Formats: sequence, structure tokens, C-alpha cells
Amino acid sequence: MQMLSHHEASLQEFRLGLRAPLPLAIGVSSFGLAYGILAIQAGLSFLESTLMSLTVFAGAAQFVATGMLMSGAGALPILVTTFMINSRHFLMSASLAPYVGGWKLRWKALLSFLLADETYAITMSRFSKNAPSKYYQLGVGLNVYVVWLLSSIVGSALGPLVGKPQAWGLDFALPATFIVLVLPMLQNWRDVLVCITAGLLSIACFTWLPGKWYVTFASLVAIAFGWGLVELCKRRSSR
Amino acid sequence: MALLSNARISKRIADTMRFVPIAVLTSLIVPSLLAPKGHVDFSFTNEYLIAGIVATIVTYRTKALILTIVLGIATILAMRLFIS
Repeated sequence: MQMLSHHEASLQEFRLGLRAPLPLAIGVSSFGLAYGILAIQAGLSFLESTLMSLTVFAGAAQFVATGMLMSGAGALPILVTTFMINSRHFLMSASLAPYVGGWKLRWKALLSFLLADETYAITMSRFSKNAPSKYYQLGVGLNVYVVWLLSSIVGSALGPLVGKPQAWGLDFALPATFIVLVLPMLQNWRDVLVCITAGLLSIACFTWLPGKWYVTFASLVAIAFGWGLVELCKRRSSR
Repeated sequence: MALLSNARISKRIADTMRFVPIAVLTSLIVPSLLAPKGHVDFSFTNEYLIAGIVATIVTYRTKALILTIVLGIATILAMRLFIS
């Protein structure tokens, strides 16, 4: 087997990385498409929604932030929720850390920006069996990023044409996404109780309070209730 | 890989923070499914409610976003087709 020069080896790694996420492209692009359409329906302009995909590049977070904006949630809950949704990035980065030790800071910064669930999965799988290569990760990251960006651009372009999404049941995509996000968050009985409380209160407040106040009110009460539960458990266990 | 890995947030605040997305997202989900047209509809003819139940089951079993969305929307369309 002939030895490749460093330059050729890097290029080969890059090409391999570029090709690797193709099987996942369908999933990524349908998500991007859905995001683009949703963003337009939420009132973002084509430019705004594209910029968001360009600079944020965090599918679930973009989806949720847009949906929450549309539903009237305030800036603070959106920030906290986005933070929590993306908190898994800390874990992903931490597990990648052993492989990226010697890389320069600007590589780390670029690759951090490009980090996505799919990129992480493919890269980790590769690095567990082969020598870690920043070119590989760059290839993977770029592929996913470009697919995401292009599909969200197409989605944003299609957005105005879809007309009334309610007619096709497409407006269900938003609560569906929220359900997919919330369910894994319910890890103990306190979480479940807070969820049930929020659910009951929100529908009650929806009926009695004007506008979108039901979201804030129900949330605050449910959060306070959860805090109370935590305190109660602490008191009990310190007896 | 970069910044705030060592932020020492007070444990009490962190414990409470976990409830924020749970509470807010649930408050957004429930009324949108139980009152999609502005008034509360608990009946089985509320296609969004049924789709929500389907979506919850699908999520519980598969955790797959696209599948959940697709099956949920399919449920809505099927109900509208056969139950109107």
C-alpha cells in the first residue's frame, strides 16, 4: 500500500467525510424544509429565516424558537429552552475532546459551529475505528450544514405558496415537535407532575385569560409548583 | 469544545431551570391540541387531539421526529377524510 503525502491524505479524509452523511441527507433536508415553511408562516421574511439557518444552524432550536415566538412566548423562556435543547452540545463536544486535542483553535471554533447531531454521530463512529482527522469532520460538517441551509432556503421559498397549512394538517408539525422534545425531558415523577400541572392550567387559562397570557401564567405556576416539590423532597430527606 | 464548561450555577437554580422548558412547551402543546379552533374540544372528533395521542405514543416508542410528524399529520388527514 503506497503512502500518501500528508496533503493527499487530508484531501482523501475530506472527501470521505463529505460523502459520509449522504444517507442522512433525506432526514436533514426534510427537517430543513419544514423549518423554512414554518418560519415563513410565523412571519419571518425569507432573508430572516435564511439568516437564522445560516448563523444558528441548530435545527431543533430554530424550530422551537420560531414556534415559541409564533405562540407568543417571551424572550426569556425561549432563551432557556434553546439553551437546554442545545445543552447536549456540551456533552457531544466533551466526548469529542479526546480526539481534537492537538487541533488549532480556529479549527475547533469552526468545527464547533458546524457540530450537529448527525455530524457528531458519524464523526464519533469514524474516530472510534480510525485515526481522527479534522478534514473528515470538516467534510461531514459541511455536508450537513449545506443540506440544512439549502433545504431551509427551499422551504422558505415554498412557504408563501403552501397557503393555509391548516388545510393539510401541517400546523400539527409544531406541537408534534414540542411533544418529541418534552417527552424525553420527563425523567422523574416531579417532571411529570410539573408537566401535568402545566397542561391542566394552560387549558384552563386559555379559556379564562386573554391573548397568550395563558402560556406565561400556566408556566410560572407550574415552575413554582415544581420548585416547591423539590424543596419538599429536600426537607423530607434531611430529616 | 470552547467556552463555559465550568460555569458553577447554583444547584437550586439549575434544579428549577429544568422545569422551564417542560412547563412552557406543555403550555403551548396542550391548548393547541385541545382547542385548535379557539374553543375547547375534548371529543374524539378533534383530530388534533387524536393526532397528539398518536404522536405521544410514536415518540415514546421511537423518539423519531420526522416519523412522529408524518404519522400525526397522516392521522389528521385520515380523520378528516373518513369522519367528516
